[in-house]
Amino acid sequence: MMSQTPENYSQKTLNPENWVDQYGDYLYCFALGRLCNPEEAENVVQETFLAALKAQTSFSGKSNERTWLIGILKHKIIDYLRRYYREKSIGDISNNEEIVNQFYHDNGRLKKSPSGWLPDPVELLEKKEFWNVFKNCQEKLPRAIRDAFTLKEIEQMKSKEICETLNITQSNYWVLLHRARFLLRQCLEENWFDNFSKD
Amino acid sequence: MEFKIMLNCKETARLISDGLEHPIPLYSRMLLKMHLFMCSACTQYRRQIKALKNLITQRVKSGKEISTPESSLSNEVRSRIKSALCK
Repeated sequence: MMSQTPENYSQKTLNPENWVDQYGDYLYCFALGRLCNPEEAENVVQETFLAALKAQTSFSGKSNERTWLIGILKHKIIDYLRRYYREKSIGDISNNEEIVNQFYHDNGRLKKSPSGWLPDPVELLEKKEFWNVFKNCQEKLPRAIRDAFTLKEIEQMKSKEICETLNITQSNYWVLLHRARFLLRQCLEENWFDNFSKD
Repeated sequence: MEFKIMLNCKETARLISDGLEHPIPLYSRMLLKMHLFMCSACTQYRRQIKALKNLITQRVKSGKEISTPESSLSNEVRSRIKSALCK
């Protein structure tokens, strides 16, 4: 397997004929994690392999084949999102306040206080079940809110680049992040943390 | 932000998130502190938001995916991609 090649072998060769079988599923899962849409993920994986074919000469051999392909995939995902948001400009998002407002009274007080949990990194960092729940919560987020969150917290992109990708203003971006955090906290409380309360 | 003497919980939640992204003006910070002092719900909210953010960052930095869906490309799509690569 590629990743077990000894260090003193410089891995200058790529094996495109194996790519689809060897890395297709891995790339697909990665893309699915970012785009949440099977068709979009498939297209982006195909674009990645095509681009990689053309870019073979730029492969330096310093990283392994899969890492290199993931790098191209990440760019293709960003390109995809740019095109998507150019077409479906989300424009003024201030009129979608209902999504968070439903949790507040008219006077701005929370209807239900947060419960007393705090996430314990030691317990949760490797806990598969928790991250499955997290993933489901992430998938439930409305599209733009989810993409803003993913690009920021998962891809760790700079806010300027995120705004360009999503075709939004800084101020819209901050609103989206706020909503993402609010809704994720809510979802995790309902679907994970409250299930372990000792009350 | 329009001139305020006090924040409500809704405004506070927004300011908490903003505070994680960019410096907030002194007066807003004061209003935030005041509200948090008086509101245990928002204090707890802030703790949870910050802790979740740190947890996610740790997970991302550990190189692990959030969670790998057990999905695979269908044979149909697989063939389609392979033939696209052969052109």
